[in-house]
Amino acid sequence: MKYTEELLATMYYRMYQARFFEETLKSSSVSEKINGVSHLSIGQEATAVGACMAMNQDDEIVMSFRNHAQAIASGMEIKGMMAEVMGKESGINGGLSGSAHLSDVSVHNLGTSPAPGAAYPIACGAALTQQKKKTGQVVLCFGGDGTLDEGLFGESLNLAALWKLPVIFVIENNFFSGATAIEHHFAPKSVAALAASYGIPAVTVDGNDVIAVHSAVTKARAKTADGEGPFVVEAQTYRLCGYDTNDLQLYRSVDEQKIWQQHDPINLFTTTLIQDYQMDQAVLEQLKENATRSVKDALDYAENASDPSMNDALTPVYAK
Amino acid sequence: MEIKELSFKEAMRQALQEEMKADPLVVVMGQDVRKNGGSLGITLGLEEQFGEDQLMDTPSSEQAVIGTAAGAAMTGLRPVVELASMDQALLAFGELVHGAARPFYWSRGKEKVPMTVIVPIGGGDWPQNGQALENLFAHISGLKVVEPSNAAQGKGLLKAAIRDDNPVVFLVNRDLLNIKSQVPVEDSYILPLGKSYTERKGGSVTIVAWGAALVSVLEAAVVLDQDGVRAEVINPMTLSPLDMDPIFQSVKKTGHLLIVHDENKTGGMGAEISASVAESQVFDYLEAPIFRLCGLDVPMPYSKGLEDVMTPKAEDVIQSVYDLLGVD
Repeated sequence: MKYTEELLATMYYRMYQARFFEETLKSSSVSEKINGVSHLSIGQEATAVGACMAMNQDDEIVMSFRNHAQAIASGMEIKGMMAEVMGKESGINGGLSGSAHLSDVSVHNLGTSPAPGAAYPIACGAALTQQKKKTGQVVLCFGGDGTLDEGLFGESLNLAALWKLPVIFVIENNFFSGATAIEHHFAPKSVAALAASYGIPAVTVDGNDVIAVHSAVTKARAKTADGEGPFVVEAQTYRLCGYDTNDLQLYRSVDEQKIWQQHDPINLFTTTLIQDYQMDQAVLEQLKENATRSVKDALDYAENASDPSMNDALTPVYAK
Repeated sequence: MEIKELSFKEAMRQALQEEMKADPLVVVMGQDVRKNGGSLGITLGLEEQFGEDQLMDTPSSEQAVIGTAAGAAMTGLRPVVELASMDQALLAFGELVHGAARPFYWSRGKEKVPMTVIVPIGGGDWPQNGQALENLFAHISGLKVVEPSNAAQGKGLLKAAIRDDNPVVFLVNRDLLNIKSQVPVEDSYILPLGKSYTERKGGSVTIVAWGAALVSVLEAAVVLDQDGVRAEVINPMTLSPLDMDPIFQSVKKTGHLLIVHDENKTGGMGAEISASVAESQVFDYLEAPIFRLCGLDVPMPYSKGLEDVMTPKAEDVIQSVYDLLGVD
């Protein structure tokens, strides 16, 4: 497909926003102010941005728990995200959800359930609504390779295939479930083969190539919106940081990490934009600069925000 | 209001039919619900009227089905899921907690999850199938839990559950399904959730019971009456959130409290009600310790004879009341 400069620029901007957002969370001055650990997706920005930006504005998105890049890619506002991760009153969910349950219905982002695999059926349900209401909208659901081991993945694929639900499962395969490499936690030959056994078409793409991800998900969306049912996109990528901010990463070699650093999705995209799309380096620099500033503003906003009060914690538990 | 004699099962079917007709976004899903009426027979005959648009057979994937219902509820449908038994509800428990009960709170009310999960309890069939475990659900903030004890309550509460904007677990005891009682047939008949009802007035002793245990209690109350012991019987119907006020008011009046339930005693709903009374101002009005008459603390055995002795019967209730009142 033909990419407009505007679309390419937005992709580039959001990838950098995601990168700077997480580097900020990783920095010791911020990480010690966060309750618990955060799960960073540094190195996986191309998958999040490529997939989200292939969807229509009204499509629903259900995230995996490694969700910051996905949330930014879906159009979530980063000031509210930063304040939420820091547990502040002005956070997107008022400090009640934290980083693990970011959600924003105003951008059709239903959030995530960090219980492994638990997001898949939520996405099936959102897709069922689109099907029943004949909205023509499609649901995008992210999942990490660790969740492939859950029964819920199989149950959800089965249900989605039986009911021909308009849902696209984007599996971010970063080759590790926690500290366990994929060959030790996932027996099937491939994600695509597993999907095929349910009669669901699947493709495998380079998850560090944002254009490849975008193109694969765009095609999947077209088929799914046409009533062809669910689709699986396996995006092979790598988290350049640990499982969480406490991870010592003793389970993988420095050499392996260095090889993947050569495939940093943002660097790859920068080269592509200059060489293949003749984008002006100065324009890219400006986008990068804008992304840095937006994250700094978000951090200022969050640090100056107040903590939630006890009244906020007692916020209604039941809908009236 | 027109009244008709219906079985519990027929009354639930009528509730589904009325709500599905009134709102096409109400979809019923479960195993075998289309051709076989589901595990309880309550959807029998509904397919003709509603077809697969509103009546959906599911594979045996309880956890995914509950999660799917939650996702559908969040985005605009009002799903009613029928699970075949308590053992299946336990398989689905994770999604019931994470997918259904929590998003409203942690999204600060921006994500509503209006769904109903019908869970059969009691009524035999093996140690897993026959268990009730109502307290597990009541423990989860964000879930509403109801347990009717007759046809009229079954209809009124099911309609309220479907219209409610929260996830509601609807426990229905198989032993009660074919028992008939008087049911208002109007569309408008509804029993609001979150209210305890006084089934019977009296001044001698307060008895709190629900579900199948309530049937034994009401039977016992008639016998006690003949001895001049007037039991005031309170049926919470909604176990969570629990309306304690009618219980407090009654205890204030009678000074004696007996709680009767079929489920295991340890950690059961009786413990919760008992503690709430003990913590309250009403404690000073108690003339005797609070009594609990509950199921035995063992898993449900298979043999029918053994199953019958597991749960309190009318004669056990009568004996407990006399023990509580200090009468020989």
